[in-house]
Amino acid sequence: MFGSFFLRAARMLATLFVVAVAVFIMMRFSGDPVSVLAGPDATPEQIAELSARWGYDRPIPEQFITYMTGIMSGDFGLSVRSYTPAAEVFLERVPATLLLGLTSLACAVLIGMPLGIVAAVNQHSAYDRFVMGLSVLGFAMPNFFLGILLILLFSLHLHLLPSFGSGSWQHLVMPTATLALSSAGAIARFARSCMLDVLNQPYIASARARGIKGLRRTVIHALPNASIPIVTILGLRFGDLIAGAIIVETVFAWPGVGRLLAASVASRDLAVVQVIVLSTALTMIIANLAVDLLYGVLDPRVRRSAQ
Amino acid sequence: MKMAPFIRVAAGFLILMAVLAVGADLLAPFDPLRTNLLARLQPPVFAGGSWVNWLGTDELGRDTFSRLLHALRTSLLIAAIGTLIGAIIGTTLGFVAAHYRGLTEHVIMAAVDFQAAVPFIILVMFVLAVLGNSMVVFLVLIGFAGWEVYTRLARGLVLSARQRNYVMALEGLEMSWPRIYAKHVLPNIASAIIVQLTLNFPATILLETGLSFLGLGVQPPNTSLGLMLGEGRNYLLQAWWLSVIPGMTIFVTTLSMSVLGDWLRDRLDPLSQAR
Repeated sequence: MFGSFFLRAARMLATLFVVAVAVFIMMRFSGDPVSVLAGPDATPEQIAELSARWGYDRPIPEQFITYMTGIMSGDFGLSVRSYTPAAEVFLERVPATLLLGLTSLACAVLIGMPLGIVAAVNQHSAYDRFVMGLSVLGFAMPNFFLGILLILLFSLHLHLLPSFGSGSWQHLVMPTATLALSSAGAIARFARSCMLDVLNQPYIASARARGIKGLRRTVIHALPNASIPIVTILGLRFGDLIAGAIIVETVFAWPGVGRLLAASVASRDLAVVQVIVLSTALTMIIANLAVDLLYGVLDPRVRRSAQ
Repeated sequence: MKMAPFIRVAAGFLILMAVLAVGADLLAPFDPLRTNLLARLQPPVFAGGSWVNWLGTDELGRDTFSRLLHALRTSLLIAAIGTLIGAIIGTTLGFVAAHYRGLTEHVIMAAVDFQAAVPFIILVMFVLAVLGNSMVVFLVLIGFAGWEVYTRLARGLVLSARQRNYVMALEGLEMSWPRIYAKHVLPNIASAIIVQLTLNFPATILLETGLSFLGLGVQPPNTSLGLMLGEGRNYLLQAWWLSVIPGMTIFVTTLSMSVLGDWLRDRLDPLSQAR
């Protein structure tokens, strides 16, 4: 178990290194970073001074080493927009996004899982078709449009909720609902198909033959096995939530990382964009590793085969 | 071929959208860029407006219907080209991985795993920040969306095809591999890839409209459904139709495409239908 953990951790670090190299190469492709930093009306002397100060006049391999050591110590360069360290600009926004992301994920799971599981147990029923219909609707509905519809209804028409900003629980309701609803559809669909896989297995038929009643059969016999792949999809959903947060935070002016990314891309604030890309890659890699480990904890077969 | 009524409705709607997009120049009653400051923010006909601008006008007095047609054309064109590029790149990589095995396969599949793990929109935004926005860059980026799905699919299908008698027979006859793949394997696996294409198309539309909504995709004076919605968002209080009309168009289009894709998959893959 621990041997395989170290192997995975090593592979994870290697992936992260490749990402960092790719980011470095892309950044140097972007043309002269100094002219962006200096602005359009800088004199040649100012540009020379700036590139000496930031080390852009050094050979590329040396720049790469400086860059990598900088990343390791949390130095990602200065934000062009605010002239403060990009890492600070980013970290300031993290709590808001974590709050929104985790609330949405929790809501999505609480809505999606029961819907999907009950749909699987009542396969081909009207309820099953209804839930699957909802999940297709949830997929096809763009979250930016859903957010705007919610604003129109609950803020502008009914005056119940604030349309943008943050600070109170009321501010959290609509962004969370927007993010959670589209994710809930996908989770319901996946939970249903995992549950169906398990329900069709011989041991469930034998449980039925032994006279074990419906609810007990579903909850005690089928659910633990069906929950294993569902855990995996949660790791992947996490990525969708990050992606969704970019748009939803912009719609609701939620002061999180997603809105920061959209604004930084628009103003080509590369230092900030780079922190966000690298941290997202790191988060996703850790999330996947956590899912792998959890898989081993939940399923003894995985644990044994890893040994 | 039996089609449920709502499948027909979905197919009908998509055909209508395609016709509107192709005939945008002929069907648009006004030049989509012609401004008319005397007729700003006119409501559509179902909200008390006139038949002249039957879907209303925007903040510069431009005709919403004419703009919608051109936006539809841009969005559908980008999504169609993007989906095709992704399918071609992804499928080719799948063939390469399945043919060479070994290190090549490991590298390709590692890239697939990485792509599946990191949200694609973040990669697109990074490249847009680095290279700056242009239509070509944007189109190429959209084209890469979903490539990993085709690679995984094609690799699996090609690997199993190579175990089949017909491929082994052709190999024994010393037919060249490119020819075996192009003439014999590809036609056999095409249906699965086409199904994947219809399932990816809505996701591609959502990616393009989402980025354009953020102002990072299609740039004015061009317009796309997402950009229209993004611009209309500033006038929610005075003119809700400016965002609701393009929003509904995106929603119903992606919905129809998903419904049709699911139906196609069930028809071509009886196993998933049994579910």
